[in-house]
Amino acid sequence: MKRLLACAAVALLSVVSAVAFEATVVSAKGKVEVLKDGNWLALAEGSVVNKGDVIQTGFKSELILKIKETVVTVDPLSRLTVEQLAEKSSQDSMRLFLDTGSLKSDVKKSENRRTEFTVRSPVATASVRGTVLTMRHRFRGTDVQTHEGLVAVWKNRELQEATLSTETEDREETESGTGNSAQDIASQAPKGAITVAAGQTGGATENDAAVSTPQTNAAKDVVNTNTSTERASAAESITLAATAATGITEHSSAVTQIAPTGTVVIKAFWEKSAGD
Amino acid sequence: MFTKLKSRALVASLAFSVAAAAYAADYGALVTNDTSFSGQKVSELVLDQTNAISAWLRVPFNNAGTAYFTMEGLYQFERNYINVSDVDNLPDEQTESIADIDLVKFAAARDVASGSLSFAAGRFATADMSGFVYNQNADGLFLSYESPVIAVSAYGAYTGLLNKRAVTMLSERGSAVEDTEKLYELADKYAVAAATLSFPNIVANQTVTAQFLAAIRLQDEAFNRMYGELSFNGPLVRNTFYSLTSVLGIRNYDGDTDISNLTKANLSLHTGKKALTFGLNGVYASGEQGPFTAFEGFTSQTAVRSSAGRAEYTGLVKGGASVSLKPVNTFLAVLSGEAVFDAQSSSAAYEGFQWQANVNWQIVSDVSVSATFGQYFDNDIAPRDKTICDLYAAISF
Repeated sequence: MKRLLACAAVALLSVVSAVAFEATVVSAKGKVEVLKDGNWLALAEGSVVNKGDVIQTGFKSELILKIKETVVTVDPLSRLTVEQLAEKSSQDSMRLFLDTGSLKSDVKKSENRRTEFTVRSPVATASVRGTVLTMRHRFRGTDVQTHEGLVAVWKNRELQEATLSTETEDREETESGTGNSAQDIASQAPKGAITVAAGQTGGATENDAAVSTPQTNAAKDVVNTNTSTERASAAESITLAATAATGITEHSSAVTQIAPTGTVVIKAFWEKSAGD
Repeated sequence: MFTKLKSRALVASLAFSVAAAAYAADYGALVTNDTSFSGQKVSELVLDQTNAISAWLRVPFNNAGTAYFTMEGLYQFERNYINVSDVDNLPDEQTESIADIDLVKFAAARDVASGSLSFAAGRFATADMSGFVYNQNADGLFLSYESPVIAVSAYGAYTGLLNKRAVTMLSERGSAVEDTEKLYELADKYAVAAATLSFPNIVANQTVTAQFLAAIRLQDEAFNRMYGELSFNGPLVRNTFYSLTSVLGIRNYDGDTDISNLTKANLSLHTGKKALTFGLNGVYASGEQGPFTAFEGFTSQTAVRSSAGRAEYTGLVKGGASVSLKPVNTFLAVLSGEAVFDAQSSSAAYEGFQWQANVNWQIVSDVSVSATFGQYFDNDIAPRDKTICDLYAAISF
């Protein structure tokens, strides 16, 4: 009897400490599907998405999800996994894994509750504290573009796959500081994580050792990124300090450092950011 | 008999390995045409046309492409037309040809701990941190380790096997004299070494980098140059970034040692619309000021696009602005202008103004064209004025 009461108490505690919630489809245009029990089923407006669901969008398709007060817009030809939707004591934790494609998130917190929103890709992780960001993952590279606020971005040590959150992760609340460092925004951000402010783009490719800073990305925007009509010797040249980006100079097209495989990070276009 | 079988098996294995590697090899060629009109006045432009064909090969050694071998060969033919009305005794045109192997590189990279270790060996182009001191090909080794918190690299190279016709290195005698009759002429012998230490995102996304580069001459009289460089760069506010680099040059020739300085600063504002970017640039290259003497880099660089007179980064101050736009992803337009001040002595005097407009259009993935128009107006000496109109096309296959 005592044992039964103890089990019931533990079960009740788990339920009280972490409640899984759902995401709702606000809009589904074109071919939008969710993988359930090994079958791809069409998603329509009003459908519900749970933790563990894999969603994909087809050509010229779009999905808008509402997760609590946060709105996630999934672009065409994208695939993502809902890794975590957990309501903790005073915090809502949401985590998505972007396998391929791009999504834009307008992260808003619920009243009197903190919101922890994380988007992961195979290459990089972005964590926000209530802001608007776009993440794109294509061709072994991830870009994170911030429209409002600050986003903490870091390179994953190894290539990641979608991993559902554990019970502990769903239950334990995370701390966040009041400062503007990457670790203040996301307590799990490792050393070397950067912050990407409004109007900036950070990111990483599979072959980068570290995340690409907004300055490096901005400088690459103003040079020709197509190396097909460049001499191989120019494409293979090495700047002895790749981090010393200089913007537009007469030398900007002379030397371009690229990853050993020849991958060139595809830069996202800029959008005018709203005021903070 | 068994020995014969073993030999045949070995030969077959080797043949298979070569065939397998060759099957995975990628190769191509690039044909370029550079047509330039330049001269002191718009009405006196001289045609200079350069045609080049290069062929390249790339052989990966693993599926990830993190280890590979690549090489490129180049043949270039240049024809320069002289305005007949100006000269009586010189030929109507001059032609020059260059053959070069401008790339032979083995590269490999692998993840180590939380970072990446990269290695490159062979002939490849390298540039120092400032981009004004060393920016050329050489035969050497490059090793780097890059992690989110620290990046270190080491570089060592030799220039004596390069084609003097394809690279211009400065010395106390100016730049070396070329024999234009030769397709390939060995360059002056220097040993170059560099070491770099960088702390990316040290605080508030700021990056600090320190670099040391030395160039030691291995022929004739001793002539050694060393450069210590320090750079800071990062975001200021929102879409505005800065970069500040200072170079201390130490030159030793024939027992005499002098020091010089080059400092450059750049401010860029990225609006986020069509890659519209505004930039402010400034460069100071010391002349005879205080403890400094005239700055001299290692690789020849064009600082002032004048018809005659000084062109290198020495004894001058340049300040200017630029704007770039990418209305579509395949089209880039850049407009820049800068004022040049003579700083060879202790006082600076306005020397001239130069501007340049450049458009680059990637028509399809294998074809690109670009056009450049620029002018330099000298404040005092009209014959130094220059007008340039350049058209460039590249086709790859």
